[in-house]
Amino acid sequence: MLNRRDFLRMNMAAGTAGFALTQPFLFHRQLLAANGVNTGNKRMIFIFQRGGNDGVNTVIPRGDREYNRANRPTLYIPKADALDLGNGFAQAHPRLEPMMELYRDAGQLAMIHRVGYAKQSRSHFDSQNFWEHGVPGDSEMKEGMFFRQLVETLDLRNPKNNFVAASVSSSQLLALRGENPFPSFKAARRFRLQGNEALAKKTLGQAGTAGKPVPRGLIGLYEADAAGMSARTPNLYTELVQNTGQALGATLKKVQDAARNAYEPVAGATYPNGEFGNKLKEAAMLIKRTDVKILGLNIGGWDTHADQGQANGAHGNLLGQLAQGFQALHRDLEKEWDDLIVVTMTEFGRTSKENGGKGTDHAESSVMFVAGGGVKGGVYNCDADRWKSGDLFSEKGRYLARKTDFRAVFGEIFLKHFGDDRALLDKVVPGYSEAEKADPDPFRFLDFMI
Amino acid sequence: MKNLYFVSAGLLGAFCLSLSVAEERARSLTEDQKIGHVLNRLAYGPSLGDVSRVREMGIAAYIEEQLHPERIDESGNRRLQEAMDQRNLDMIPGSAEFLVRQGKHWHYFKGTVEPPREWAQPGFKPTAWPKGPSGFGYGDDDDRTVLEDMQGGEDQRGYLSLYVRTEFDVPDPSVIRNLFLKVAYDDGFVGYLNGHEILRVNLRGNPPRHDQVASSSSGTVERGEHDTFPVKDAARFLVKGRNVLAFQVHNHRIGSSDLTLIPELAHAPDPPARVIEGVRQVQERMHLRGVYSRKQLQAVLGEFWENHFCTDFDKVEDYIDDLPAYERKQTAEGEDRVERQIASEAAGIELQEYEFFYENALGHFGDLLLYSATSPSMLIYLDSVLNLKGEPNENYAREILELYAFGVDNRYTQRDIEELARCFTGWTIRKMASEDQPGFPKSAREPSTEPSLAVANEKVLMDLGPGWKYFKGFREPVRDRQGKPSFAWTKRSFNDRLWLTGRTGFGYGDDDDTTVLRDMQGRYVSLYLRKAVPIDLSLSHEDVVLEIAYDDGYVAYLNGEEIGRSANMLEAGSPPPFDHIVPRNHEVDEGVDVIDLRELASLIKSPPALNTLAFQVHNGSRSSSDLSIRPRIVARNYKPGSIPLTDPLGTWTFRFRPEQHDIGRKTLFKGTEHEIQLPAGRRGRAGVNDAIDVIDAMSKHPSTAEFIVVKLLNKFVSDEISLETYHAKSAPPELLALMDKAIAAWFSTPRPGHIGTVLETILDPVNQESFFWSPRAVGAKIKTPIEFINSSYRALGAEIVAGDLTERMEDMGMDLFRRDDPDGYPELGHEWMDTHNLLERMRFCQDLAVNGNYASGRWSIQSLMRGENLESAEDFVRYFDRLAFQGQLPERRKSVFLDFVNTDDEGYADPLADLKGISRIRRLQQMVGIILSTQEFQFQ
Repeated sequence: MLNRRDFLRMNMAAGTAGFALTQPFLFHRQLLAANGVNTGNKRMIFIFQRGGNDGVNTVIPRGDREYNRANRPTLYIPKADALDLGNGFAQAHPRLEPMMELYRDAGQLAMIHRVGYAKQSRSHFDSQNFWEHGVPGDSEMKEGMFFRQLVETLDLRNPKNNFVAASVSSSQLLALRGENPFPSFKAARRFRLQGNEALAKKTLGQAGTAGKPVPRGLIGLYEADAAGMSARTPNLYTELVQNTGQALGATLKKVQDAARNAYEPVAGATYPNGEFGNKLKEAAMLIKRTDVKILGLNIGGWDTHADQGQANGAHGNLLGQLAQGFQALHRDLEKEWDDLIVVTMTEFGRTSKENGGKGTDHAESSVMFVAGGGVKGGVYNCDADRWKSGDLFSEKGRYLARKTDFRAVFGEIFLKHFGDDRALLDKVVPGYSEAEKADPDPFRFLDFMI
Repeated sequence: MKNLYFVSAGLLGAFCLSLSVAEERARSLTEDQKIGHVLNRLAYGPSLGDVSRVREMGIAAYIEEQLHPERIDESGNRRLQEAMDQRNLDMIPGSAEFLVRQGKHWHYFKGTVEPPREWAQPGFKPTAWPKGPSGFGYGDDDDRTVLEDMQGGEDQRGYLSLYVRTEFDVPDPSVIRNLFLKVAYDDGFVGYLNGHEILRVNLRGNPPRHDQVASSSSGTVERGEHDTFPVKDAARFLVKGRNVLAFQVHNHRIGSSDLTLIPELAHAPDPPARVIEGVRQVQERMHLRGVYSRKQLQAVLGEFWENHFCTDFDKVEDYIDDLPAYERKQTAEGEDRVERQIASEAAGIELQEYEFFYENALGHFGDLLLYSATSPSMLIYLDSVLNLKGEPNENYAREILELYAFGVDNRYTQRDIEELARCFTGWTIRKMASEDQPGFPKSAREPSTEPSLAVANEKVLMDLGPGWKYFKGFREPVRDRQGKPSFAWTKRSFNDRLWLTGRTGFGYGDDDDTTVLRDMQGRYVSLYLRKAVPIDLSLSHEDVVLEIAYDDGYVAYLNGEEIGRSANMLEAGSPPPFDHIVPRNHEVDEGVDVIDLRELASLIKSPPALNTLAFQVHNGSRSSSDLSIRPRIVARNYKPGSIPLTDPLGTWTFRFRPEQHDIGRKTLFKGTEHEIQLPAGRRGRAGVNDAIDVIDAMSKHPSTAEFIVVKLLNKFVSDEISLETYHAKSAPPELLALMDKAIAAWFSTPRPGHIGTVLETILDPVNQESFFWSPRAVGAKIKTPIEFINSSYRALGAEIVAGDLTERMEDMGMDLFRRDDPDGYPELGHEWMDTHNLLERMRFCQDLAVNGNYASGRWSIQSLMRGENLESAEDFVRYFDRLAFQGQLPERRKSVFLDFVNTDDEGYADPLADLKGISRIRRLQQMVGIILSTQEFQFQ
């Protein structure tokens, strides 16, 4: 268990003694990474739909007789209103129309139904954590799955790698958290110190050098403690704070340079209005102007316990934003598209039956969207062969049971997109092989990647 | 670039050795370190005043005092009282009677030239002035007398000001105690009573000339405001009988896109009611207490519980906004005005909840839990208001277990959630007259089962029936000399002999009409009717109202004055022409309009005299399939606590609806020693006990004790323990031991879960041996944004000034009272430490240090220099090291500060000693910003 290498987890589990224990492992990993397993140019944008998206009204299992007005009096979407997905079984929510060019014309959008994990937690917070750190059931894990992908394949000590990942968010997404902090910001333009350029530079300061051993400015204030330097007892967060300060100092300029000129998306790429669209636009700008590899952002509001609405209600509006976002990214990043994956995650699906508040409650599996130049478009896990009528209630008579473990979806992305090998996959997703061995079916690859 | 990991690895040896040294130091924390630690955890960081207080009274005594905030006398803390008071608004109290209402007819004069000098005096005769109902203005949708020629532009000259005056009767001025003006205005005005100036806003000049522009001290006025102004002193100008109220209203420029004036006058036996303005003021309250109050622990815990029982202002606001009654009010009174009311009500709901948590912060957890479950904010936030019999909504049932009491998956199952959701069916909210609202716990345990306005009994004074004269709107009933529609037909003197005779209701097409207008469809769109009626206001009933069911729109008149109109006819003109077609349909079953006749007392003749009630009714289209008008006059008594749903002076409160409660049998925690059986058949109000029995049992359940103690330990002691590491016994042994002790304290009181008792065990103020006092606990927690901001203010002795404080909190990711997710803002440090947050913190404290606008704070470095004898940069470094870091700052950090203060903006050497005056002050302030930016200040 110790080689799970979670710096925080280790500290928490074993107290300060554990702190010492983790150090050799960290050290070891850094050396490994320095040799460079993979420095490919593959990139990824991930979008977390916070709150639990209702997969049943996203990709509609029309062929299931239980999808009807009796079970969903106000949410039911009639056949004539929904979008045809071409397999004679599944339909898409009408508001997904903007992403249909990616699905129909480009054939590069995979809609993967019934994704979840065993012993599904119906707690938002646990389940979001499980998805992001990749170890379902472990509530104490504090290190993200995508952080591990990066730290295992790149030398994060090398300054040229200090901006290989970022969250376009006011806080760091857990999937990217780890001992080497990556930047997080809502808008690249605001990622700067105040004052004129000279004062900002003075405030930022610099590390001590041989010629001038006293460090300066903020970089100086966040330097690591040399032996005996501080009277403080080192604690759980001493290094995290120092590393964050250093990461800030090291990336401010890079992000400002990227945001210096106003960003104009490619003509025809229209991002949705509002915060989500703005974040996507930031992400596209960073993909074009920096060497960032993984970007994460959130879209909230999916916890539709009440007044979820039909085509034009709250849920429909969110799906509309999401679909327009995919369309805009696809049009805007045409040059980068071949090496890019855009993927969604959500902590769980929702009850197949509507509740009394015209909404749905927490349930089990839901839908993932994966798009990119290397994606084989189509509907997965929602066709006449794999979906029996009544499957809507296949779990405990209330929920839609999972067919695919989310780790298998990411497994395919790690292996086929990022080029990891199996041994690396077990490091990025600890316990992968074990879980696969215990229950192979949900881990069977869907082959949505070319 | 220095290699951090080699440094870390190199540190290992020294670090392991230092552990035992640290343990050694445990027993020898200096007094200063202890004081700093206590103020970092029980308070929002050290302030100069609190450090000396603790030093004077002793650490143990200080903690004891903080554990018993009721013993702290804070009546002398005027800074706190005044700052909190400024954030309230005056409202006209519920007992008020109106002397002048919106819609009353006023004489008006357009300010193209100066009006006669005596225009506002009682003796002036405005006979040549035109007349129209208030409000006056143009450009927004709240004006009834629309002044199309006022806005200057290419086509017309326009004018800047408008003069209006009206008369009202006061039978006995000696009984008038409190007088209020309620004015919606845009942009500035002066109000006069019987010729005396009584109120002035955004307008200069004595008297202001007709071409004077409105302006405020902060610059040009941009948008309209709506406020209540207590004008108690003006009551002396009232006379018996006829009085004159007059206003002049001015625009800020002639081309302005709008102008508004809607004045109302009221009096009441009670002083003004106070309400909170909006959520910003509630948010600021948390900072004001956190920075200024001596009851620091109570302030910290108030924030802690509010965040634990997380709710969201925005969802409350949206909920009220979507209520049909408020939507109606918005169309009737204007969106801006009602949205301000809704923002204030939603903020009031959040405030009410926060105040309970603050007041009971050291009391029983069971009270907090029950209060939260029944607080309107939570009932809305997690959809209890939508939890109906037969169709339960699991949202709240899940979260009360997972987030508010037991902790995730801590001895409950999905089945328990489903059973508990059934217990909560029928829980909802209502509004109640504030003075009738019972206190807690009665409000929770014996809730009202009635709606906001419940009629106890009523007497019909004018029912549907005969005696009406009517006129079909083929043309205007009367035109004036210029050929325009006239009000003459609404007056008592009008001769209606030639009109037709009929019985109410009038109309066609929906089978609810007695006088059926078979020729109306396709031929005419309006109907005029009038009747002489006795109205007896001397009845002892609480309300005498005119109730109007209608389709599609109407204007109502009494004795020649307009007394109300449907929301869809606001812009139809005065009076609306006979061929006016109503833009939005209204059906009879969409709700009746109610006009309070007591407020119109000055207009009404008592029996045996008769009053002329008149209506004009308009259709939504010529070909419409139906039209209806059915007026009644009713005297009513209401059940106790009743208040109209949209009354801004009511208080939102818990209500239980027995008819929506699932009375089936329920079992929770089945097969455990804490199993709860709830019998079937709890009818009526007894049904509320299903959920209350479970809530009461929760605070005695070990899962709740564990979860709340873990959260308290995380808040006050250390992040190094969680429910999971407690159960797995993998947390540090000292923390496990403290947790067991605290749980024992939880169960040590007759009623388990007394927070003060649990905290006293955790803090161990007398022996000072618990893990709280370990050097491993000292300075080991990362500040949350509110802790960072409040501790910055306290370190500098800064005042909170109006500004963007709440925006800074939002930028740092902690928008108080507005969290989407019900888990509350995180307590664990790693959640707050990322580049975005760190950058926002640095920007904040550097701005605060130089008194930048962005920080919403003010402090004086000069008075600190004088008060503490600080001269050199070294003096400042020493002072802040001692105050904020207990003298523990490493030398290397201090040299960064001194390097900073002795270099110019370009980074070249420029010793502070060579600087004078403002540049010296500025450089020192900048250095203070750098001191607060250091890594050590992220910790507490």
